[in-house]
Amino acid sequence: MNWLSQLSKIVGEEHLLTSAADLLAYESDALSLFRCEPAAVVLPNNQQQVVDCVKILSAASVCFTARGAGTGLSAGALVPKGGVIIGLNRLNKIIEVDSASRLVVVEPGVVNARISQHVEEYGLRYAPDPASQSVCTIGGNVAENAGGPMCFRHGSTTNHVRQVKVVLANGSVETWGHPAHGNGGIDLRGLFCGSEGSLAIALEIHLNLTPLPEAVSTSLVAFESVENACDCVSTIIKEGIETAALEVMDQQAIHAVEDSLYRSGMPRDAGAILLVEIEGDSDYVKAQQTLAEDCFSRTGALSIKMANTSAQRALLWKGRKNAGGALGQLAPDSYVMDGVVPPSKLSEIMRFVDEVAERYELPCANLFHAGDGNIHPHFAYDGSDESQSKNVEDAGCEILQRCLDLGGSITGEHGVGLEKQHLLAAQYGAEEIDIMLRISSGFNPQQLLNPNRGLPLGGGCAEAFHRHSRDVSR
Amino acid sequence: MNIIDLSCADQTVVVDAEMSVADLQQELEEHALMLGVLHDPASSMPLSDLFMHGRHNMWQGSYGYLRDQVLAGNWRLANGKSIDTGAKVVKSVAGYDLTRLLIGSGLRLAKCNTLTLRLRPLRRELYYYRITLTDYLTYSHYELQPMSAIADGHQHIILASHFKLRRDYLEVVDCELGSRTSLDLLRKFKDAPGLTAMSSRPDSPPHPDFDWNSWQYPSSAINDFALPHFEQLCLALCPNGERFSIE
Repeated sequence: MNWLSQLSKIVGEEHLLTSAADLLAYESDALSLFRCEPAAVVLPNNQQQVVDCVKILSAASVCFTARGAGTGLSAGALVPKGGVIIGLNRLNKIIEVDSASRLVVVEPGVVNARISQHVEEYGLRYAPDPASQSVCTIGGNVAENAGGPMCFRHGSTTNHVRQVKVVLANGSVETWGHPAHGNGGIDLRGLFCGSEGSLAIALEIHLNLTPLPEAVSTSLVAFESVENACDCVSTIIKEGIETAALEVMDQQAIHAVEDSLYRSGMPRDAGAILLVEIEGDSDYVKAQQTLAEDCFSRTGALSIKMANTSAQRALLWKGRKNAGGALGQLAPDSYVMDGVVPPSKLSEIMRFVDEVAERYELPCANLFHAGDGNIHPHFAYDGSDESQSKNVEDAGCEILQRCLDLGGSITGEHGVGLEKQHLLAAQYGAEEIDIMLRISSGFNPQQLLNPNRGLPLGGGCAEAFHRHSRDVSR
Repeated sequence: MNIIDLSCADQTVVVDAEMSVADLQQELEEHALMLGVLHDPASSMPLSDLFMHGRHNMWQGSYGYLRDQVLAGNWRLANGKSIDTGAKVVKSVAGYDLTRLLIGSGLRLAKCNTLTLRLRPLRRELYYYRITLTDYLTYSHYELQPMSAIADGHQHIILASHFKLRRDYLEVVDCELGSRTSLDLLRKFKDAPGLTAMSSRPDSPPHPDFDWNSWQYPSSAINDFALPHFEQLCLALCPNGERFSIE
């Protein structure tokens, strides 16, 4: 019996996809710049089936990659030609809620937003909130160490993972971390978070829950320019005002939202808006809000819109959370970048983004997690035009190189994937890269599990900033 | 043993890993910043000791685990080579998270030379509460922020926090002791007759004296020698097999 038949026997014929039509949705993630059709997609519905599938593929020396909702933005969940995607969406059980310990145990296919909905009755929430949280799954969040607006206050996914049960490339099952406090000495749990599915596949995840705040204040502040909004962010941070989120959108992003189904009443004439959220006890929120309002006026705020009800708050966030979708409607293709600079360098990097976009004649909109210094320029382009595609890639490289020059990182939350393999060596030295490659080889000796994702190919460190190939069938 | 680079605007600091936690906190206070860990102001514990031994952050609920405070590091490996991990920004997912791998490894995988730490705006006020253990366990999930706790004969818990308890919680336990601007109150409880420190682990006997270190989870890294991947990780870091001697 060949490996396809063996997989079919485990999951059932209807959950093994092999036709071109079925595979189409799996040939890329949300970064459509990279595509590669898998040989098959297998959809197990319990942990044992995942383990069995891994064992079969490993024995057959077939490459495989785990995938959740496919919302990744770095081409991390693609499989080389002839490989298999293991779709984890059917592993979608919330196994346990322990409200006293603020713990939830979930399977990797659980959608991010569902967790907060599920635990709201206990006065709790799951804090990391990537923009795609209504569809993205926890397994993918862990693999990419996903962030989101609230991560400024609460930290990224890795800060909220206490323990993971995983299956390694050879089919063995291990547990990393600790269900009570997450500390476990040598932190394999931490190594796993953000490893882009190249060390193991998550089967079960223990997550921290965060108490819902007593009070929340949300303000949408309009500014004449992105620079003014960035100045306001710097002032807020310098003044020591503790905010939960600091989000900036430029005028192009505002217009895209207001012209879409997601309109939320943002001021179209503003050069930029800053969304500020403060949470805590009522007295604290009031005091911090007063201080924040002082910062708004000192940095030239044109108008301030406050959310007085949860419905108004949801409306303010609706525009921000759906801005990526709104921007996606502007052109056949969209390239969402992800870089980080220290917050004090935000104005500088945004000026550079404008300059690069103008030089390459690329329409560009910006929305970013300003508190974290995490920028997301969105380039609208037509992927069928090779010169436009090349311009997008080159512009992206220039911006990320500048992020590094300013003391930042090539990725804050999207991961390296295939997209930034060639850039990683610009952030780290040869020794660090070699250590990462040896770690990868140790856990994944045959390189069958999401091979080489998130790391430079072949261990070479001289590839930095060479334009990469979009042939991902290697 | 100094601050190497303090960026108030970015709320990050690069420090010599042998600087004491207390000295760092004291210097940061002048800039209205702090490290989000509860520490003994009289202790000379160096940062490397605090971070490298898998200890528990008593203010974990408010500021995260100890490992969450470390953004980047410069490390010395057993083969004498020096490596840099992480980035000087609060978010970076470039490559494997070697910082988290090394933090808490009990100095067996690497020694840290410098650490880049995430800072928080200084909160000068501390709130203290004394409540029954039963109330604490029953209502702990209502807290605005989880807090540090020391037990008074295992019947009561003293909570110290930068945050006020939620009102609905206070209505239940009705127990606010007051607020102070230093940790003196905790020291006062140290001297109270009959006070014993409750171990963070329920299976351990109470410590006879109030000992800050006893409030932090002891390193569990000793068991990591049994980890199936320990040797593999050592070889990834030093492929020729060099090892640190175990003290």
